[in-house]
Amino acid sequence: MSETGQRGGAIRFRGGGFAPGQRRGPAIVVFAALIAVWQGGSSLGWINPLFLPSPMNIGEALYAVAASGELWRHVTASLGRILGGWALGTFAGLALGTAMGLFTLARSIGLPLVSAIFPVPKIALLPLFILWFGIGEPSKLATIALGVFFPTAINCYSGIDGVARNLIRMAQSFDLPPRDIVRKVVLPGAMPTIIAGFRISSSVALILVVAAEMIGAEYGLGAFVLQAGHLMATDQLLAGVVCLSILGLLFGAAISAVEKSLLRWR
Amino acid sequence: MELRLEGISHRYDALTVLEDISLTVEEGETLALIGPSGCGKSTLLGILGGLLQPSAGRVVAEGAVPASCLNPLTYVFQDFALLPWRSVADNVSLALEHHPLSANERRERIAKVLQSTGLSDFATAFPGQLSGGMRQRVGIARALAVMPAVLLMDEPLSALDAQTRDLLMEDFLDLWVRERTTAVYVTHNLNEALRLADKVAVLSRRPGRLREIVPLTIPQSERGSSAALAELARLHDHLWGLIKDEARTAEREVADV
Ligand SMILES: Nc1ncnc2c1ncn2[C@@H]1O[C@H](COP(=O)(O)OP(=O)(O)O)[C@@H](O)[C@H]1O
Ligand SMILES: [Mg+2]
Repeated sequence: MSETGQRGGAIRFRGGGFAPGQRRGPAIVVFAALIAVWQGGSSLGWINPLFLPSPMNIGEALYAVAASGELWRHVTASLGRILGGWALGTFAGLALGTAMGLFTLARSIGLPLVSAIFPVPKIALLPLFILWFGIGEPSKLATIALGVFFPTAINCYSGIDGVARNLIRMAQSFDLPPRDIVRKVVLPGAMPTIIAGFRISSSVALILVVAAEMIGAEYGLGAFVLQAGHLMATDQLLAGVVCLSILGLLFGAAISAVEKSLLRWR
Repeated sequence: MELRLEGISHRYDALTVLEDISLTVEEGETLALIGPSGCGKSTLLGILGGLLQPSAGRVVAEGAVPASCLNPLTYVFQDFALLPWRSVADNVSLALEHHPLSANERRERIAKVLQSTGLSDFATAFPGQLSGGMRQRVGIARALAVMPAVLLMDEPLSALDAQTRDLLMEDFLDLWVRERTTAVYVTHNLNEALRLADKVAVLSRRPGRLREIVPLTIPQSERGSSAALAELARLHDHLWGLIKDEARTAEREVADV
């Protein structure tokens, strides 16, 4: 070894690093510190409460609207629209996505159509829906349903398309009827992708409900946030935003729970 | 059941894969199909079981099938083809659920094949939790559960390591060779062919033609004996001689693409 310039001794370990893990601690500390700095800045008068109320003020505003029962009305209004619109859009999206995944004709027609309409910002169609269905609930539901429909259809289609061919051939080789192949092989195989699509569609529904309620609604978190803005009640405004964030987190948690129970095998 | 191939040819678009293959798999025999990779063995097996439509020729099945047989032509796949979201028992069950069996009969069949493939303790495990060898046992259990008249196996051991392969091969002898279930066994491994088969069909490189059918007259149970060694070595050399040049040329061809 002398000619390469190396001497004897323990071999230097060089395989370390590049294996990031994740811990809860640092996140909690930083989160708490941010809120503390924010609260401190507000208490010391460095931050103008009109532009950015302190966390405490937001908490108080949240408590006040909750105690008066007003918050509940807004939350239920929004939740009803989200669930209704999401259910409609999901049902239709799964139907079209399944058809596009299974049938040549549906795919030949559906895929270009979906690709063409997918990029349209759905909220831009709300005025049209208002003309069609009036200012009430149906126009909002239609907007949310339409927004949910496309990502659901696309994910369902690509999930089905991605099911391993060999599993389908296996099922055929045991003479499973086509209905059983769809039910027992294709749909379960597409399930991970379909559920991943739920994550996208639930956040789309949340965005669209706020936007739709800002355009025309008496109740709903979007309307509440907008009114608070008009009144320069920034503490209420941010209280509404906190509620929306919590809704988003809850949807995420619900989808994770579904994922866990349906995809136990992974 | 006897399978007769009559003038089978197959093309994928412009690529001719099989050319005029005629061959009979007799009742109760295990036919090994060997040939260089890409010569159309999997294609031929797909045609045999009705998963592929040949461009020309036909496959005729002859002979009665017992009532207990639910799926006369049954595959065992190289990549196992198990549903990862179903447990071992439920994967076997998949092959039975659409047949008019009582729940009891179905449970009995599942228990029986899991027992005979050594999987009884793994009935509730998921495929993802099993080793490759165990997964292929599930594939075999599933095939046996329908009591097939003909087993069609596409390199069932080639995804496994050498030790697992040897162990499973001995089990194969118990599971179907001694029971004299008709079987077509595709492999590129001469030793597997020489251990299991009654007859070895050698395909040429693509387009695959039938080069020779080599009968193995020594019964499977005696192939481990020292008396058989010389004869098996001779057969090995003969088969290797048949496919060596083909394999070499086929390898070049693939490399050229
Ligand atoms: N679905 C397909 N479409 C086009 N070509 C194919 C298809 N399946 C197999 N082939 C080609 O046909 C030839 C034979 O394939 P295969 O039957 O899988 O061979 P083997 O199993 O003997 O390795 C190969 O060259 C392969 O690339
Ligand atoms: Mg093959």
